[in-house]
Amino acid sequence: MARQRASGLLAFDFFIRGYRISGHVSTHTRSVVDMLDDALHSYLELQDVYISRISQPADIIATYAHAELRKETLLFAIVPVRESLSKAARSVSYFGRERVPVWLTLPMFEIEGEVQAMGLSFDLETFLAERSGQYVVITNGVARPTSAPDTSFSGEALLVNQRCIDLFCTGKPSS
Amino acid sequence: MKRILIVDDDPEICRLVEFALQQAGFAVLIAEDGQKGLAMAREHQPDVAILDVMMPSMHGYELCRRLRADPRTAEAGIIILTARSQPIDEQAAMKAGADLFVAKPVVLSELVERVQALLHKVEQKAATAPLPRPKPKPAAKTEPIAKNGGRLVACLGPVPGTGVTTLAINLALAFAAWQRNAIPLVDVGGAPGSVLESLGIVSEGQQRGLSISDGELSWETLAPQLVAYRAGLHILPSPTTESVPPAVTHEAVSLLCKRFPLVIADAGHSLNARSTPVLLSADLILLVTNPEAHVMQALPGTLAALQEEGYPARQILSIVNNLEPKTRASIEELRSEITRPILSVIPYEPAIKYTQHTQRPLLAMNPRSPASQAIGQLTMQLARGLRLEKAAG
Repeated sequence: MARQRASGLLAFDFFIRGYRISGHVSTHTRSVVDMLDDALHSYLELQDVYISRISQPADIIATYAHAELRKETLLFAIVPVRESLSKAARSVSYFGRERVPVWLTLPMFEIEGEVQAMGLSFDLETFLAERSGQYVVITNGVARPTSAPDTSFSGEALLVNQRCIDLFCTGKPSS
Repeated sequence: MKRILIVDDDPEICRLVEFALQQAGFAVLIAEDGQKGLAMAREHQPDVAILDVMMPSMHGYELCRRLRADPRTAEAGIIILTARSQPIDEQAAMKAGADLFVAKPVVLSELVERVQALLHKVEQKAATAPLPRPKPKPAAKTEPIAKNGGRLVACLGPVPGTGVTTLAINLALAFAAWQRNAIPLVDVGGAPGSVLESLGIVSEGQQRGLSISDGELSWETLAPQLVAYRAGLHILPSPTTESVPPAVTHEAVSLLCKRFPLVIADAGHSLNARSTPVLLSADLILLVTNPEAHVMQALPGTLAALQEEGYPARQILSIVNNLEPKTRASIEELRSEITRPILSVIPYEPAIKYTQHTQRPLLAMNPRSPASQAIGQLTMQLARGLRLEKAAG
């Protein structure tokens, strides 16, 4: 059963309904967001997978050397910032980047953080409509399970599956 | 020269950390998985162990718990170095007994500094300890608790989630009903309050546990600590704070064995300072398993750990507790993996998930279900094997 991990893999934390999946993904020359946005593949290959239930997210209940994740079931992923940017997005912009506070809900989670928007005035509808990829990058983000809001998950960037977002709030809360 | 053990399955990390530590003047040992790390730690007794969490054969938290439970390695400084770096992971690392939690990626010079600081702390702790740090004896084994009188049956799982607590509760209830006698159920599992929470006696997060100081244990002080539940079940909860030393639990188990013909222990899923002596003094260990792949993966490690502690293999019996309607592996595959006789196969019981919400044990809720019947038969088998008798009258 012993297996030794090859080097050069990216460590990740993926969250699907009810489960936290930690492990490694081989990104080669691409970023994680490029792989997730790749419409030619419905599944993402994972290596050295460690599975925890969201109710006890630090307890590892199972481990597997390989797994395939159905991408549309992914709620969000915690990744380094560089992995949250698609190749196309790694360009210098002459426009200012506006940091907009956001609060959004997904099945079983709520996420608070910021999105970076181009231009001077932010409009949520335009932001969501004009995005090319399926994943919204939340920086300075914190995700909390709705069943255990004292537990938090954070990282450099949270890649949130836009199709799973139920409620997307922007700006500062009124109260 | 101070010895540092690195246990990580990523060869690149191992090479980099080894190089940095050697440059700082340390002798470095490397193991590529948890089992090898445990063996190497027991053989070489490193001053500091740096453990990854996500490793094959045994994850870092379990390795950390086993290092702390073993007198040969209990005093080592332990650093958890992991990419699972959420606050909840740090809490889990500290609960498992780690001294430091370091998130990957790490700056090597910072890691070396933290190793040096931890070594200093370990040395200071050893110097200020009331007794000199005992030299670990390679052959030292955890001692079983002194026990005479009643029988002790311990339930243990190789991983969390095999239904150890559920089985222990239902078994104790079945014995209490059959013997028409009170049966103590001792909670020595890792998570405090799991038995009380399962029965709805306390809600999640509520604090209620054994609270007796060392040196004042007698039947008079112990009896009020037992939590009475229906049908003759008396629960000795696990302490909720570290201030109650494991020795108090062991003495309490010893006292209970003197007063009761049978004591059931829920040992959770790990061998630690509180559970190991109880397990070693048990007349029988019921290893609660199922044919799920991750359970089968962990089985050899658990059996090896019990064997290393000197527990006789013939006293380990396995119980297959089917928690899912279908499993990928068969009982036969499990049988080849476990190598121990399967005493009972408890069929899948859909109501078991419901019992977790109602907090009513299966035997109380549905005594005629196939799973309840299997537990009843298991009770009879154990009663015959342990030569237990019904209470008179």
